[in-house]
Amino acid sequence: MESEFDFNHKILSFLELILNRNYTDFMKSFLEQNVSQESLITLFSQAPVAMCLLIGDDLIIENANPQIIELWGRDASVVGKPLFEVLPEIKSQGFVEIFENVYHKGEIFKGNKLSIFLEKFGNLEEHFFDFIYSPVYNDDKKIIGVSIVATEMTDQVISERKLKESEYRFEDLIKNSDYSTAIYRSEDLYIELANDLMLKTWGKDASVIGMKLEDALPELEGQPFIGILKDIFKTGKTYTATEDRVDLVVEGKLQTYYFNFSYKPLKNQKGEVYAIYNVAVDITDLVRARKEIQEREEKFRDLADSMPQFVWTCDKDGKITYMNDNWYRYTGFERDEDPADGIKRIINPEVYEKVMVVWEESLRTRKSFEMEYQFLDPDHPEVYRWFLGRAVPAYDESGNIKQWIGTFTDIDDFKQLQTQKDNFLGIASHELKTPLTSLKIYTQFIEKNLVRQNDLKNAQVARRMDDQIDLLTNLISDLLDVTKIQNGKIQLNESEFDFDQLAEEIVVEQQMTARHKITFHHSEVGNVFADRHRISQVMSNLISNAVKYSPDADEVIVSTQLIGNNVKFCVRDFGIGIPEDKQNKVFEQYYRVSSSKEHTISGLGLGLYISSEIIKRTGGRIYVSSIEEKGSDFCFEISKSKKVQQNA
Amino acid sequence: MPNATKVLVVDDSPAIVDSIEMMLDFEGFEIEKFYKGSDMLKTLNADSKPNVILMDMWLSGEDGRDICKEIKADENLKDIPVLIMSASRGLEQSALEAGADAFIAKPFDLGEMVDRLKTYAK
Repeated sequence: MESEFDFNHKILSFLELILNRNYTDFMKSFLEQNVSQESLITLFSQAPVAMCLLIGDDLIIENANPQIIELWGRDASVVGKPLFEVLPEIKSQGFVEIFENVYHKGEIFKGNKLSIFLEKFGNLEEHFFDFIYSPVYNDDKKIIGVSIVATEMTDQVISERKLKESEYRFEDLIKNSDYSTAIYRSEDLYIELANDLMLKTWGKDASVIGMKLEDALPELEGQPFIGILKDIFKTGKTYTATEDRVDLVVEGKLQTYYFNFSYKPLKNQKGEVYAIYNVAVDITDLVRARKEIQEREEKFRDLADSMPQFVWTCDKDGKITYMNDNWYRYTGFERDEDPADGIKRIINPEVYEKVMVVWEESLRTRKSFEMEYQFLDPDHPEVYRWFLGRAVPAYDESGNIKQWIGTFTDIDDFKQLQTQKDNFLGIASHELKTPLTSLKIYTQFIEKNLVRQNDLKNAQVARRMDDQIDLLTNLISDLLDVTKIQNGKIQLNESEFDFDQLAEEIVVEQQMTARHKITFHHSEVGNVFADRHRISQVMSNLISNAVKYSPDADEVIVSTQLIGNNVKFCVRDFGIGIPEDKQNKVFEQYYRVSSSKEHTISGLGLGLYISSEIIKRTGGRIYVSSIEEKGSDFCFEISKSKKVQQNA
Repeated sequence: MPNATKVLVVDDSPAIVDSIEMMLDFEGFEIEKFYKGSDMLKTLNADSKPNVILMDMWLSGEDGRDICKEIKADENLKDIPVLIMSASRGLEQSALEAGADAFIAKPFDLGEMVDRLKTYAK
């Protein structure tokens, strides 16, 4: 019979072996205290380890503690039965071979979180165990059986798996996120995770994963982010930022970016921050676009404010959204006042209604607006100044009007100048012709008296003086006409008149002073609607030219003709003609035909220019065909005009 | 002369008024001359109407057309013939529209003027 001490020693050694732990001190105290066998057995049976003893070739369950019975999902009746009879399901899981090795070869078999399917409560369930199968020796060192010691690890394994799964899910989420995402672990901010978007944002590759953030992105030095992150480990508070500026080295260059981002602390069960979850959205393009628009608006405002005109914008409904500095300086209005009210106050009340009507029309038809009107002069009470108001619509990409841009330009000085010019031309005409008028009267008076006194020689002198006065009068008229043309002051006073009748009148008039015989072929062209006086001027000019430039001929032929809706007037002479390369130049302002007889041909050479301008203004055309030494054919055509047709 | 044709001459230029006066006087007309339209209007009354009024269009601030319109609007005076003169030929239409009986361009032919005025004789 073994001594109690030896027995205890054996048990403890057995425990040490199967539990794979060092119980040396434990054993010592047990042995020294001479603990009873009974206490040891209690210890043995209360150990949370599942144990059993299998004896013999059939591996009969000699002994099994409650823990292992529960682990197997069986009851106490298993004692005395062979293992494989009690747990048939493990036969196909490789355990036959395993037990063979232990029983026959004496190999210890250790399983670490090994997966075993056990039939429990009618179902095959997967369980995980840490266990040891050890050979059991008798005193003769012969293997008589196998001991099993096991600890169920199923809960642990499942937890670990769940954790792993959720970690994978989490990683997946981060990888596939539409946002740049990264996780920084510990206060050293190791980049535990960074999705492709974030890597792209940083301008780095995957090699930075695992590095400290400050090492991966050294350019962050001097920027507040690392500090903020480290702070979160202390405060545990989430940090969010909108439109924060970050300077990052991308493609070798330090560039400025703008982000909306957040740093969220990740806390463990104790509430301690172990990592930070960073999500960021790159809004650089948005910010840049917005800044560009702002800059352009500022440029526009600067430009508008620097312009001497008043510049304004209004929305598509006509509500004024902006007026430039100049406007406020001129009017002295407050900027918080509705400009529309201001305009109403300073505009000439007589034109306000009309302006509104025209403006509404423009808004409706989407056509440009232009109108002259008067604003009160801030320096002179009750005095108005003329302004030109203009507005054009501005469109968006879809072709809709998004706003109107307009100006008011001070044209008062310009208008005054126009009035001065008008006045000047009128005055010039009056002043130049006044002395001529009385001169002509006196000259003709003298002539009459001399004739009465029968002093025919002196009468002839007076006659010649009168002719020169007429010549001078014509020259001055031509000069005045040219001045009017150059200032755009030719005004056509149109009326309906008989074209042939006018032509006849002019022919008769010209005949009075022409040496030639002027023949008139008319063809009843009917009425035209034009400036009678100016057309007569053209007719006179062409006939007098014909006479002037054919000093060796006897005849001038005048004709009228109806061509469709146009009337045509032609004058043919048989004089010096015009060289072909000069024919289109004759209507130019300073052109004069050169000839050997030039010195006898008087006049300023303005007649054809003036005639050409008149016909142009009437909407017709004037032209010549000519052969040198043979003669010229000058013609003009003007339309009878729709108005006449309606009447006819 | 009691039967002489009475002509009122109105022009802001003394040179013209004086030359016309001299010429018409020589031809046997009775002349009354004015340099301003408003002065002429003041003396105009139904009792001593002239045979014809010869008036310039520009009268130093006054417009001959307006004066003509006034005369033609007056029941008692509208039968007086008004001839408007001007250096600008283009204004013939507006002169006639103002009620003028004729438009005369300056400078004019003396003989033509005398003949025309003779047609307004009593």
